[in-house]
Amino acid sequence: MRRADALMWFGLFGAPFAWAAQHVAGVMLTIAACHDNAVGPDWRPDVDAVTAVVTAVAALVAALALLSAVAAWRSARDADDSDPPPAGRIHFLGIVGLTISPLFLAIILMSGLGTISLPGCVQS
Amino acid sequence: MAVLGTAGRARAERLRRVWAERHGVLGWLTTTDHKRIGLLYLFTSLAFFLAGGVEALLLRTQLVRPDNGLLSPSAYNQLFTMHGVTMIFLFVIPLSIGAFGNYLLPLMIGARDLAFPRLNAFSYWVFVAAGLFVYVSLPLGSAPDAGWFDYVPLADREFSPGPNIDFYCLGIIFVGISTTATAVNFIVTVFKLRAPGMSLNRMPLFCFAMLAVSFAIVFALPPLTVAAAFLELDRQVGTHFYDIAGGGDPVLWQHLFWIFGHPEVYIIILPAFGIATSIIPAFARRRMVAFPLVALAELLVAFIGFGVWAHHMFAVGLATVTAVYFAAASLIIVIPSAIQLFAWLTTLVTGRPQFATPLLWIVGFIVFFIVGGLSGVMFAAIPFDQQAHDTYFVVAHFHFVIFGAAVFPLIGGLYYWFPKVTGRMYREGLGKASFWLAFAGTALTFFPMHIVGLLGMPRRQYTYPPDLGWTGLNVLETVGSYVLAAGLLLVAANLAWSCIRGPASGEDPFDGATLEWAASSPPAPYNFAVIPTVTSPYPMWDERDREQDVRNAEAGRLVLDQGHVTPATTVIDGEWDEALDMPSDSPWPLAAAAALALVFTFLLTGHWTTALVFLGAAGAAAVAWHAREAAAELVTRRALPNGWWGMAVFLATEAALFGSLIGSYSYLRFTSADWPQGAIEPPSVALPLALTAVLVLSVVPMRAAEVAARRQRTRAALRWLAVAFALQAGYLAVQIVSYVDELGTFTPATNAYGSIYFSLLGAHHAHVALGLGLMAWLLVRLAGGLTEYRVTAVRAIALYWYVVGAIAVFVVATQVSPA
Repeated sequence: MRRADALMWFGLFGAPFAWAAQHVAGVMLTIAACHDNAVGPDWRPDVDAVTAVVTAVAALVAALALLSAVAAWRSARDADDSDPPPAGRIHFLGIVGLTISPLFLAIILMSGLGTISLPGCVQS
Repeated sequence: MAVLGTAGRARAERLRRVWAERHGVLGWLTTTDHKRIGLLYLFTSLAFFLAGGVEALLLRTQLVRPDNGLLSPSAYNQLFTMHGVTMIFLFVIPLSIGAFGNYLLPLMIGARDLAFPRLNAFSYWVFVAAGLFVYVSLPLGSAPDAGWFDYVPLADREFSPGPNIDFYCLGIIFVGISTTATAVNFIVTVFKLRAPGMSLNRMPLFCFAMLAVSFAIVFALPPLTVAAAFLELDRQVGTHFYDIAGGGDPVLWQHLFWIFGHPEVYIIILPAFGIATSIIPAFARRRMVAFPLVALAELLVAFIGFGVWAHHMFAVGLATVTAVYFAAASLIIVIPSAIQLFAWLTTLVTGRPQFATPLLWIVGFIVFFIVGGLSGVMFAAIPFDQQAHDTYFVVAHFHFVIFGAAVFPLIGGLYYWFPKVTGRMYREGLGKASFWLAFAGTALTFFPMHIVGLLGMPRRQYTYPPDLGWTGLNVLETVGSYVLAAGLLLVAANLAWSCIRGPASGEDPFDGATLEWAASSPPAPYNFAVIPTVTSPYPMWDERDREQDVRNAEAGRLVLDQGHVTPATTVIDGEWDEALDMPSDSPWPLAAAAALALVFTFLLTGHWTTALVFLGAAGAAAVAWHAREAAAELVTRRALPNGWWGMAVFLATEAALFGSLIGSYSYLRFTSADWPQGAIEPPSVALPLALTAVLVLSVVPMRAAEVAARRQRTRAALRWLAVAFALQAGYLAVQIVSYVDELGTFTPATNAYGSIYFSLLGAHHAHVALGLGLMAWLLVRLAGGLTEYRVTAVRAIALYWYVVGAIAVFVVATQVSPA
């Protein structure tokens, strides 16, 4: 069950943390890019390029988390939600992981693609 | 629990003697019983609800007709601000978390108390003191008057010269201490005190909701604390965090406030979700549909809630590429809410619902949650948000959510658990009448606000001219508010009358599913005569387990009647770990809270030295409350001890606090034309890096002390602790000299760079000083030898220093970054 446990935990936390990292990085990047900042006279971040890279990495992590959650759930598919641990717990948290990972993947893609497709530094 | 035999009754009687507390007023002042503290929270928060309700009625009466003169503009400003502050900080959170959480959480997980009973008492007394601190301002005519969100620059000294905003800033920092302490307590309780067998997948949904809320509090309150501290420093010391002329930025306040403010909405509403998921299965006579999805939805709402804060700021002028991150999260957060909604409805539709009073309030909640939720989705669309911003449409939206969706389940919960708490039944007819009155009153008060908002009526204005077509709708709203008040008074009358004259209810009148119904009504001081057997999330519907409890009681298994103890289990799978000796009643939490109240009072009046003296008194009270150690033998645990977990969660709060400070530094830097601002030289690099290296190195002797303590080598542990203490004290001494030296060059009042530079370093030095205080306490205790309690203390304080070391790296990187 050790492998299934590892898959379960990555499936549970991988996508949320990928989104959190993308969110913080994206917000700080766009704030830095859209002010007269003093990070350096030659420092002009290419928001679209950096966003594309960050989004791709975050989306990849979220997609891997989804696959992990599916694998964890499959390893305990014969168990019931309230069965004793570890099988019952892996089944339970596997369902949680495979439900939340697509949601975070959606936020990651919506945020990243939205930023890239919109004109930079225009006030909303 | 089924009827006990002779042996079981004898054991229960022994437990009663062991867990008995003092009687009378002194008993209530020193209590650490989670049920008594829950009741104290209940009555105190209801008193604040009454105050907030009267304020709301005065506001609505003022608006009943155009050009009304019942309230002056100043009085109106104070009343709507106090209404918001009261309802959010002093009513809903203390009622839902303080009262319901305190009373029910240990009962639902089969524990005999919370993980830290004295911390729980401290939380309550701090809450009372903070509430009184804020309310003293009202008769003085100096109540907060810049709205519950207290936007700058209106709240700056220049535009609000009186003490009104100081009451606000210090008051919310003060009450935040109480809320954070409760959250730490709840997280450790849920992690460690679940009955054996209650693995995560068997935990009641109410407990998932409380866990989600507690984590949200731990991470959401530090940004608010930082925001309020910055504002108070701007007002009292002349710093420039929010002052554009000094290089600051008022939008920083909005970011910090709403990083707290939006999770706060979920902090308010998640307990309501937990109550709904308790009441619906009981009255639908079936298990909750999609149990894992509902559990995940509760946690998910709290988590994504941290990524939507700027949707409160769409009218500020953020770049669209920034706003889009928040719009995306705001749209997706609807999905977990919808998951819960469909689960509640499907459970009702596929069950055999009995629409008794508690369920009626939940149905009302669902209706209002749909209305408030749909208008909430509309605000995720940036163009609509900008049109409706600051109109009564927003007021309608959040009252449907915060009153209709958050308070209705609380009232449903009051009815549902009333028999458990009092041992008596309420009057069903009156209960239903009170629901329909409150339901009609809520709809009548808040629905017309959508229309009047779309017609352009702005929020927070004390009156309006007669020719704008708003009068009729305002009359409806005011009539509705009085109907609502009548409904709530009927609730109070019903419960008060039933408390005295209601028929006996028995242990489980609703055939509830969770463990609180296994306790007597009202529950005995020890909660359960035998620690319950758990094999599913609906333990009361597992008849064989309850029969096993009776056999266990007769045989003396899992009774734990030899002392003031409760079982501790492993975090994930709920396996037996140890029997914990729990602290008993104590006057020290009250003393510490009283000293803290004086600290805030003297901060308000500007007597900083006196405040520092009382801070020392609060520290002394904290030392006194830890004077008696838990009577535990040195054991080999399967899991980490409670004290370690308590420290870990506290450090999560600390990390969030420093995250807020470093985030503020970055924000000010990114929005500033030059950095360091003015003619300030960039900081030196060598000394801060060298000092930080020393501090980080001190974790090596800390680790060695921890290992020695766990191996019961007292002298080695003492020796390593002394080495670590010397390194840490040396670090702080040199840092303070450097800090004072730099103050000769520029000060926090020079510009925003100076403000954030000295605040960040000052907070870090305070963090180290607190650690040194803990080390001094530990060295004194260890001089008397090693006990299990002291081994746990070494492990917890070692963890503190590991995190201090990690935070120091981030702080120094931020500090030297301009160089």
